[in-house]
Amino acid sequence: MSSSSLELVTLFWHAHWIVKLVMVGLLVTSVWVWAIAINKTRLFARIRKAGDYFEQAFWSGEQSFEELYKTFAAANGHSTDALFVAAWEEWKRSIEAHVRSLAGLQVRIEKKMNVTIAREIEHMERRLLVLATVGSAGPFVGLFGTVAGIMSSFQSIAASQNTSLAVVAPGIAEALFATAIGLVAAIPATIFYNKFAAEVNRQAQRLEGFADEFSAILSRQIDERG
Amino acid sequence: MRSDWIISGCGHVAIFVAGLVTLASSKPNADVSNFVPVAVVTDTDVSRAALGQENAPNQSKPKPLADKIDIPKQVEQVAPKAAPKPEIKTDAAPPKPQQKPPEQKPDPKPKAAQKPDKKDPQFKPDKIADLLKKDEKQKPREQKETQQPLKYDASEIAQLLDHRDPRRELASGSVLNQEASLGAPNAAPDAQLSQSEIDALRQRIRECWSPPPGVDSDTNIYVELRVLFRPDGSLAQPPVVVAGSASPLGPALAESGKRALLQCQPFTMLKPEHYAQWRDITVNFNPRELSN
Repeated sequence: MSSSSLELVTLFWHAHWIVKLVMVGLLVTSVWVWAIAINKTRLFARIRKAGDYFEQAFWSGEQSFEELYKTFAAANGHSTDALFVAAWEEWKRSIEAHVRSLAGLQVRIEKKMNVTIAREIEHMERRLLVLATVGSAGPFVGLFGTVAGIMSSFQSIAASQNTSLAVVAPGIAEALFATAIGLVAAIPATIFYNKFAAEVNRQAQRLEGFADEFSAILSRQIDERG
Repeated sequence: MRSDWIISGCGHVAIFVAGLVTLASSKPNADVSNFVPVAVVTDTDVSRAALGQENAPNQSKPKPLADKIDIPKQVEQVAPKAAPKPEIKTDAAPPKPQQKPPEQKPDPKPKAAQKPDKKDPQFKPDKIADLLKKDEKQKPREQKETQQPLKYDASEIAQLLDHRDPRRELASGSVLNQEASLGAPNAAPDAQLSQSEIDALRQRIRECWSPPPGVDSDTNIYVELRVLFRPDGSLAQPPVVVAGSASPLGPALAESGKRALLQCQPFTMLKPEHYAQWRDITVNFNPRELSN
């Protein structure tokens, strides 16, 4: 019973060093993938919540833009609130400096919001490439470990001059274990990559939609002043 | 990000431990003793088994008389209680190989279990002899037992008695006689010439054969040649005409067929393992079939 309970450990321990290396690498990669997945899941949940909260406050019209700015500037959010804060900062600075040409203000605010959108999207996409890479390369790395393991096990078969299943099976099992770990790492990576890529797209559309609407509002105000 | 790493690492460790536990609880494959030995029987084996052996001893002596098998009859029969002693010994011998076949058994356990089962007193002398050979320690004690035949022992008297059912039935000879037969002189094995071999032979003959003048695919004529082959596929002797249609073209057709067969030998497409099949064959030369 004790020997079979340690099956996974012995399977690993008897493997060729290349197979061991591949297994350890893939195991670390799997931990990394799940860490990224947990991190991104939390991040997107936070961003969605913050965006919903801000947009509800924004469209309710209960607070002035200045009050909204004071409320959300400190929050340092990553959603539409960041856009609003960046745009309103630029607006305030220009108004307070008594800039002559309000036509330039419109262009500046739009640029500022575009830069903010790019920054936020970059923040959301960070480390997603790791998931894509693991998802595509993981099975191959595992397969490499399997091929190396089967090669070494065939060599040991040739050395022992015995082809009974008892001699052949453990080597092949440990070799296949490498592919199994590769798939274990790659499958969640692919699933999470697709999920988060779709989520990034959704958030980008939301940011761009808000940017267009807010710049329209500001443009109306600029025209009213001008 | 660090907390995410920790959570992920803990999750992996948990899954690993769970895997250890579940793999440990799964038992190794079913009992090894339940294996059924399986032998692969190929066509070649079947044909070999069906063939009589050329070097088998000639069985001119009569087949052994069948003894009775232990099946009670419906009708009561008055029979002598004890059969003569020599008879017991002769038919005690044949069933023995059935109980202990010479081929190796996959599991030694049944063999070991059989020995104590043999409480039948008929086998006791053999058992003692076996024990004497195997066990040197027990030798003196066993000898004592055998050296005291005069002592009254109920079990030994029971041993001398015929314990078989007196009402047993007579069995037919084929049931009891298990000696291999020589095989009939013309016995053919079960294996057949494969269609590919026949086709290859036909194709080869078609290539070699040039019909004599006056014979074409519309001519309704045939000739059958008996051909004897050597194991290497060459002809053992010139083909012999065994049948043919009555036609002035017949002799020419037979000659062309003989020529074709002699030119094309050896016929290597015929496999040596089926030699018994094609050693003696009849080739049918029919312009209708061969010309197309």
